[in-house]
Amino acid sequence: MKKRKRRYWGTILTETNRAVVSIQKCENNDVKSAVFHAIKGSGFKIGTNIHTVAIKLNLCYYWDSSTGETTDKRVVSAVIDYIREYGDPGIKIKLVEADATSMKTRYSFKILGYDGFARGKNVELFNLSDDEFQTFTIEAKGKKIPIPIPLTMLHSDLIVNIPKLKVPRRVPLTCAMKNLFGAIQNPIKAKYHPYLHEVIANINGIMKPDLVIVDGLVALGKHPYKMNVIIAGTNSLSVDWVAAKIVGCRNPRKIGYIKLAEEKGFGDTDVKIVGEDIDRLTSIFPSINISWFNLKWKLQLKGIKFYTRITGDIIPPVLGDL
Amino acid sequence: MVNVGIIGLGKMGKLHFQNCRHVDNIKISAVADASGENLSWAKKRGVDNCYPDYLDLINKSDVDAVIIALPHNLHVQSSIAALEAGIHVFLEKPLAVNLEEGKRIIDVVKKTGQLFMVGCNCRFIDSVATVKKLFDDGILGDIEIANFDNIGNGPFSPFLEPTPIPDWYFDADKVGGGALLDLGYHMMDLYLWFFQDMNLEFACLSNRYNLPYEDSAVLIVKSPHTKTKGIINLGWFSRTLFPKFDFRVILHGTVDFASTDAYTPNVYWNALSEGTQNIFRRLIHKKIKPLSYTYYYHSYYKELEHFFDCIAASQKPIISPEQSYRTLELIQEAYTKYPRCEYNT
Repeated sequence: MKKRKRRYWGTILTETNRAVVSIQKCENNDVKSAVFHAIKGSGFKIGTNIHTVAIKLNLCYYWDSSTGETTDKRVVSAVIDYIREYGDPGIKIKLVEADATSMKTRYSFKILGYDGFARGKNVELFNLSDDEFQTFTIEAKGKKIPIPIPLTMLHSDLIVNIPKLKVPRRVPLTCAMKNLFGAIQNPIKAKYHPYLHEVIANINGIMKPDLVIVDGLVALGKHPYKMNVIIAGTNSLSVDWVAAKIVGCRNPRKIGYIKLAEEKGFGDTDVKIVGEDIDRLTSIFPSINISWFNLKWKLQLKGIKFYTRITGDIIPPVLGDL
Repeated sequence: MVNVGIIGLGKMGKLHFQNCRHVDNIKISAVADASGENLSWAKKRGVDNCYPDYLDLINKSDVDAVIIALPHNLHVQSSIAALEAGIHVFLEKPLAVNLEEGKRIIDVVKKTGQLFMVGCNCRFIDSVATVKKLFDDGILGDIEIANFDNIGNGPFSPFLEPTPIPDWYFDADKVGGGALLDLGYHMMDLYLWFFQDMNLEFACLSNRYNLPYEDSAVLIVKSPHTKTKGIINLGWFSRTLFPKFDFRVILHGTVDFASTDAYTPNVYWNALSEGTQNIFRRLIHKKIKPLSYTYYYHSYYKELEHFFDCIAASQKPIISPEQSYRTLELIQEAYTKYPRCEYNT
């Protein structure tokens, strides 16, 4: 694969040198218009020498977009339309995702209807776990961790990241930066969990999307919620900074990987927000106290484990091997 | 003492394995599974005779009964092999993936006279038994309308941590069907148990996910005996998490109505209460009630206990082979008469 010449990486700055993140409300289910306005608001412009595009989706297990877990195809469709409309019509577009510990990408593409969708939009589906890769070594907690990064995520002319706006169990926010964790070529991602923040921060210094479009149509916090927003930016850290505030994190630096990425200078946190009022979005996001949630689960599981040990009772298969 | 073999140590096989260790007068003397990892799991738990091929378990080990929890397409050959070897069979539902295979099993059951039961644990859920008693006693009057709901996530793991789905679940030929065959088997079995028989009036099978089989089904049925109209709602589309369980039976009678929801305890209170009782049982060296703290999962223990009680007493199980065949017949009728709507991206 030809080495990628970086043309568009880096934050688009305003005259006052502030990063721009655009938030656009999606009205009357007009997702295309919301995505187009959000991209334009972010200041992103597609160049003329773009031939290959990788669009990183956020497919989480086999749940559909109504759960708030996976990218809505309408957003992907709009992004493809934007690229075709403003770029060279012959651009080759790949929708990419990698296998995870419990998810096989070929199945999630099929189950979630991406195979038919890709045929309809004339784009390619690509499993990053089948890609050639380059190994980068990062340091975390005094250890050297080799991370295989797929070449597609390094050498495509344009990389678009389409994360979801959600708060899962392990970290207080999953958005732009965390979505690239899912692009690591190795399917057994659980092995990186002890160094999650370090790995997320460092891979964002290696894979650098040119455009981030956050699918906030259905956001996921305590429960899914139809937020109907699209967030766009050209730098993952800036976008995550805004997303963190939306999910109720007053000081995004408290999120380990955001703090590390800021220290490493991977983007700007002095962000100018264009479009929707962020306070309104924060007030409607179904916030979740992740520490309390995890503590509650841990206590319940420990309780069950202790109980089964003293009584000889069984742990139901639904809880796996505790 | 009944020597038991367990064939298939996937999710259900392991659950049956663990439950068997609490059933009186039985001993797990052999297991069979194609996965070495699963065989080591059983070995660690004290089973010496572990076979990668279930035919070796049937032919070489000295078992009186087997529990079969294999992929659906292997039900016919494994059941017939065991029955013909003079072994009693507890088969994880469904009976088979099609009528022809189902009939072959039933013919061999009749020929050999071995005890045979298809596992339908829903009959053993306490709240279902309570509603059944109200119905049997006539307290609800005649039942005009009945609702049977069972919505889950099928192969999509509801686990705390998502777990990989076995590849065979994506092969339509191996699975044989979707929500209708999986959850429908339970609910149609319940309907037959309540109302003796039923005719299929209408079915709507469809897909939310692009699977090779239906992930949701609505059936309208009618009992020729009681004239009860029934609606059976089935789904594999929900990611409802344990301990929530989207399952209910509602009977609307001429005198009163009853819903299993009303007889299902609060899961947390039940866990505390049953857990405490089991601790006391253990302290005074009495037998515990396995998985009663989870409420629904205790039914899997009860169905096994019933099966082995029937072996000990030479009685027929509550779920007869003919009823199991009838359930499969109705499911196949729905598949034949009402093809599923194609998935539309």
